[in-house]
Amino acid sequence: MAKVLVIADIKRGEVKRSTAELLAKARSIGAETAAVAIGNNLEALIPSLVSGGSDSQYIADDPGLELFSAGPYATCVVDAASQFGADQIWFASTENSKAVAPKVAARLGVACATDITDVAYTGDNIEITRPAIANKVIQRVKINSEKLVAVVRAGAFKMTDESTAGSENVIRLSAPPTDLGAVVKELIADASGEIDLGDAAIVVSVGRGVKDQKGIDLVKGLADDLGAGFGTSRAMVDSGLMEHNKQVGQTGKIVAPKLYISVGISGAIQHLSGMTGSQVILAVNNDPEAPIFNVADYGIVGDLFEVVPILRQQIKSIQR
Amino acid sequence: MNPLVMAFLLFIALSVFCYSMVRKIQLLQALAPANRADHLKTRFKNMIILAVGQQRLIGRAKERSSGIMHAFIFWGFCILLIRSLMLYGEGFQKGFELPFFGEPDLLGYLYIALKDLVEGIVLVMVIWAIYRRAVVKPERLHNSFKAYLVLVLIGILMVSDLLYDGARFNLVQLPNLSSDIHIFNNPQYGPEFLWAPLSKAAAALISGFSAGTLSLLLVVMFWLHICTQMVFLNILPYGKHFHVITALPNVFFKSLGYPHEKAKLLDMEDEDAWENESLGLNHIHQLDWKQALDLFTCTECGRCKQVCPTYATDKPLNLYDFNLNLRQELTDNEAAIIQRAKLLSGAEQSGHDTDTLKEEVLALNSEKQLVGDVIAEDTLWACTTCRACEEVCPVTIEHVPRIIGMRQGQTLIAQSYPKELNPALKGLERNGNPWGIGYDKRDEWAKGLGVTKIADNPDVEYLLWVGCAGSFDDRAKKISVSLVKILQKAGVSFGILGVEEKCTGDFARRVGNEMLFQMLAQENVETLNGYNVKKIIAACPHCLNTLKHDYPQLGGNYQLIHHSEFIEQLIKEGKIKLNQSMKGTVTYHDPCYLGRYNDIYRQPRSVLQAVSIDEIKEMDRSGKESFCCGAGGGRMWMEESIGTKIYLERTREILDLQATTVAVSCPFCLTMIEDGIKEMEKVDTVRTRDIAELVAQYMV
Repeated sequence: MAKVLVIADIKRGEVKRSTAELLAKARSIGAETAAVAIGNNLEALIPSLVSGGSDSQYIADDPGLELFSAGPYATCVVDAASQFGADQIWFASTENSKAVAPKVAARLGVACATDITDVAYTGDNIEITRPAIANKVIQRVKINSEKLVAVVRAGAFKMTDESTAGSENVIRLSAPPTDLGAVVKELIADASGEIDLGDAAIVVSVGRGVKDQKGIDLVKGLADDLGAGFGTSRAMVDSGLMEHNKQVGQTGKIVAPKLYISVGISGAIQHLSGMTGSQVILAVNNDPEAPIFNVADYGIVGDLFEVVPILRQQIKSIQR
Repeated sequence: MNPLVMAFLLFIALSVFCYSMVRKIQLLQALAPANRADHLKTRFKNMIILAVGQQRLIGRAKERSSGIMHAFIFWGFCILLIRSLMLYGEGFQKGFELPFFGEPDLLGYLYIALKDLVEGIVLVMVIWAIYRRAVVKPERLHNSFKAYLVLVLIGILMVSDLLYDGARFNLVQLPNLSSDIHIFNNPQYGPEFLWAPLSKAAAALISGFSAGTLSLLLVVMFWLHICTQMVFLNILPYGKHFHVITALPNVFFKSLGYPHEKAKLLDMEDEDAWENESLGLNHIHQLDWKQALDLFTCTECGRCKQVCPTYATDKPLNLYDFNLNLRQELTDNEAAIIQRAKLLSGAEQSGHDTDTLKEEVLALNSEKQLVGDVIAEDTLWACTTCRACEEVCPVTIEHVPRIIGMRQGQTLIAQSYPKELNPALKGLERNGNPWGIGYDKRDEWAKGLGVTKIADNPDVEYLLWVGCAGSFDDRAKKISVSLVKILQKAGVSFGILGVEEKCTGDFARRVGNEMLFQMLAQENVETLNGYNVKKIIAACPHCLNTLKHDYPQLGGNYQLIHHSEFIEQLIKEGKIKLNQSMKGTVTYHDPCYLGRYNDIYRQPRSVLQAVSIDEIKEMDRSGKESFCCGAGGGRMWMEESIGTKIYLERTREILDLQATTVAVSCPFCLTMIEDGIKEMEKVDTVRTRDIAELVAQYMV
């Protein structure tokens, strides 16, 4: 039975959903699973690793690991992989894993594949699937080494109804020596406490249709109800109603959330090019001719001041 | 007067002047080459019209009065050159006369009359100029000590000569004066002073002076005039008045044909160029000699900044300072640049490998970063490449190629450019369009319209070049559809490339990404030549301009026709008939890349007039002096985060006209202006339309 080690994706003291997705996939191909969590004060996270589907949990818990640093993190992963005897080591796609994965692969002397969307065994060989040339072609790549380090494209592996919990078997790793190459001293994060547009699973954006601050507040309420990132179009930034760091589009942020709700945005191409990668698009606009409806999966033609309160009401009743 | 003194003064003045000039010429020689010695006849013509004729000073409706003032001073100087020769002769020999301008010649008398008049006019102009600077204070002018100094010197030249003549006239009329004062006095034409009323008036002014005082005044005025001229000559090379010497050659060597020097086709395979950082303009010594001559010629008149859309909206790009900073940097590095050229040419002549000089040559680099220290990054990237500055510059300074050169350096060598450009550049690389939409969707707009693909029928007469906006942008697709309807109605044989078309690379080139531009251009040229395309119709001025002017550099030679030209022709030939029933005030916004870059102003207006009952109302800034929409030069793909918005400034101008329709002929102008009108909440009263849309609407 193959052994798959999944690196827990921890952000703001929580194990992200992607970790369970990777574990579920590992179980679905009949692998023995383990998770490795690296950081500081991780005790509380162990249950979610178990419920996520790991059979054993490697915990590198040390104040020195509070801030991300690729060198020590890679050392922890290599340590866990060796103890577990992992055949495959999977990372969810984050900026950090892109830094750690190649280091781990190099130290173990195994292949590294990034941005994969599927993995399977064909005979004794591991075969991965990944898009290339801006999604124009899908590559199927046979891995020549017996083992593999892989970075999995966000959302590629889905949870299924059969996803099951694992069992608790905690193994503690010793803290690695400090990485002398680089020491991370401080992490300065956006202090606004708002949800990062790039990270958000749901993004709600407002356009010129909201007219003024009152309209913005209304739609912001919808975003808050959903725990969604709050974005906007260029017109709103130009008119000074919204900050540029909230702008979605060609010259702003390019987002690809699971759900994108556009409210009062007509959908000029400059905006569309920043959000058409979203999995599901819901558009609210009073103009049935608005180009946003060409890219939307669901469209509501109507006055946003009527539609948004109804949406909020409905969402609240579902949430209850 | 006194040959010894005259010779001595001349020797000193000319020596100093030659020293200054030799340094400047050495500097120009040490800079990069630029071939500006072709088409001598055209060059001569340009010089006569633009420089001697002062076309951009007196030919512009705006600021004509100051233009006339300058022209009179300039022409006055030309006329008074002969007078100066006479005076220098007088310095060596009493009663000196120039051939044909002497006492027996009518020409001599006529010249005296002209000279007298001109001195009066120049004097008035100088007083006006001083008044303008000191009291009126036009915004574009920067007052400096030197500017006043030169005006005062010119004033002294005029006054001293008038008083010199005045003293002379008085002295010859004094009885019993065994004077060797000479005036023209030929029986046929009478005494000189009859021909010179102003000098006569000066004489009247000092008529009460004694003979001694008059004699002294004569001598003092003479030498004052000569010395002032010499001082004047020697301050010219050090400041804005260098244009007195360089303007004529600068206009003579201006770029021809294409409205300005094309972006240089860089050799992307040249490894040395990458290593020497000589792709684009990275260091001041990489300017070519004409660009340096431009800097020397800048008259600091400020017209460039006055018409600049970025200056009008409080961006840091101020072409006045831009030129001055570059000129200062060039002057500061004068010795190092000359030294560098000597080292390199010395090594080349003796056959030494220039690599051995690397350290030495490197040490001669300016201490300042060209972009960063001399020109701020925000300044460089503010430019929309609209060329309004070049169109008004009286001495034809070429600003835009320099800016593109520096952007090339920033993009290719320093790899430091606005990061908002990345998605658009990536989109070009991967999908051949700035929005990064799948290239396979390029022809979806044409579905169901029955448009021929060139691949299916390469024998069509015209290729319709759709462009990225016309292919992908829902708003601009309406232009494409309208144009197709027009062409089909007129029975034109045309086809499109479909998914084989890629961005022309226009904006990649304007932001200095020469690598990407060449990649796209080469692919397009291969496709176009593969189908043996000869004539191309384009609705986007940016595509048109790039295909027309940039592609020949890469072996793509096609006849380019803008849709406004083509539609006008169809209307003239009767192939398109229109119901001339559009009502309401209509105005036309000239796209920079159609107007200033390709000289197409009349055709779109003529098309517009064919659909509109009412007269076209022109904006204050139209035609050659049209105001940019803010999207050119790659600015479409950058944030406009400094100052106010250019597109809103333009929109305000449109709204001020109370227009109900604003017509454009560029998809990017359309986006900007329509956005502006939405922003101003005037969508219900003002509509923005491409001329093709209007023609399709009113076609019968």
